[in-house]
Amino acid sequence: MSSTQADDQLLRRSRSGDERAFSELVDRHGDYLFGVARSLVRSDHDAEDAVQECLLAALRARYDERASVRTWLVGILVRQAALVRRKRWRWSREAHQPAPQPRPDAADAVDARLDLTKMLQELSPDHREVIVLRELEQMSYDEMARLLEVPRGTIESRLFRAREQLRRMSSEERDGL
Amino acid sequence: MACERSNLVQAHYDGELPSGEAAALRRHLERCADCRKLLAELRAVSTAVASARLRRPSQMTQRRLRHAPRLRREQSVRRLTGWLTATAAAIVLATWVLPTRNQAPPPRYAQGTDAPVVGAALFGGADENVPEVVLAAHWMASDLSAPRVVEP
Repeated sequence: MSSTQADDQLLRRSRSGDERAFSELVDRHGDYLFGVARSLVRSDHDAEDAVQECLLAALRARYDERASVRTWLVGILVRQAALVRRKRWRWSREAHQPAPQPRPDAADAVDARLDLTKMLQELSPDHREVIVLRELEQMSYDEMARLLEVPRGTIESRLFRAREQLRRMSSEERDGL
Repeated sequence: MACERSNLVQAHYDGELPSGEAAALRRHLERCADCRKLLAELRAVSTAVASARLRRPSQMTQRRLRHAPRLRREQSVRRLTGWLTATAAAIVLATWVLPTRNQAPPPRYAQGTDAPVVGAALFGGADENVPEVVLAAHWMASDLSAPRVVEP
């Protein structure tokens, strides 16, 4: 049984009220979804909100099996993260409060890889979305355009600018600026 | 980027160019250093993002996510209970407390007679012997501002 089939079944069982199936689905994808959400919003709390809404929305949304369950969940997550950001903006927190500093994480000490949240934090929300969808989930331009409800040309230009900004930041970091 | 074909490099890199255009761009890349440099930069960005570390949720968050449907149901029940309590309190307030506060004073009776004095007050002293049923009707309609004129 492939992982995709198993995910399908877990999703179906979760929808019929099987709480253990839901827990297993979260065990498989929850950490990844949280990590992606954390690169799209400004705090752990907002990331948890976005993932929770994503998982609950997944119990109601139609899964057409064109993409893997995980990619499909990331698509829902990106929209939920945008809603969380809008909610925070309405509450004027984002406008008036500095971004919360990331908590020191025990994993930081042993993992020298770059942190995706830090890497993307200088990008606009629109640019973060396309980077996540393209670079992590390998979505096509048309899939992203449908998901984000913008023209394909907008996706191309956002992706180009986002990558250009990441490249510039990376070279500035290398040059010690 | 100086090359006029550089705008196609990203689409080529992402596999979004039709096959004919992709083949032409591959030939172009062989002789264009600028476009090759752009292609290398796109690869470097992809590698950096794909190998970046994702933040992990706390154990508390993991537990909450695992039980999200049940927690949401409980939250909905609490919200509904709160709403019902508030509605019940509003009904009690509207039924018992507010009418008591706004109620007209009980009719006073003139000494030695059954005719209510309040009748005189209400109807401009025209007739103290206004039947009580008329008075009751008047009180019931007391939210209407214009006073009734009652023929004796």
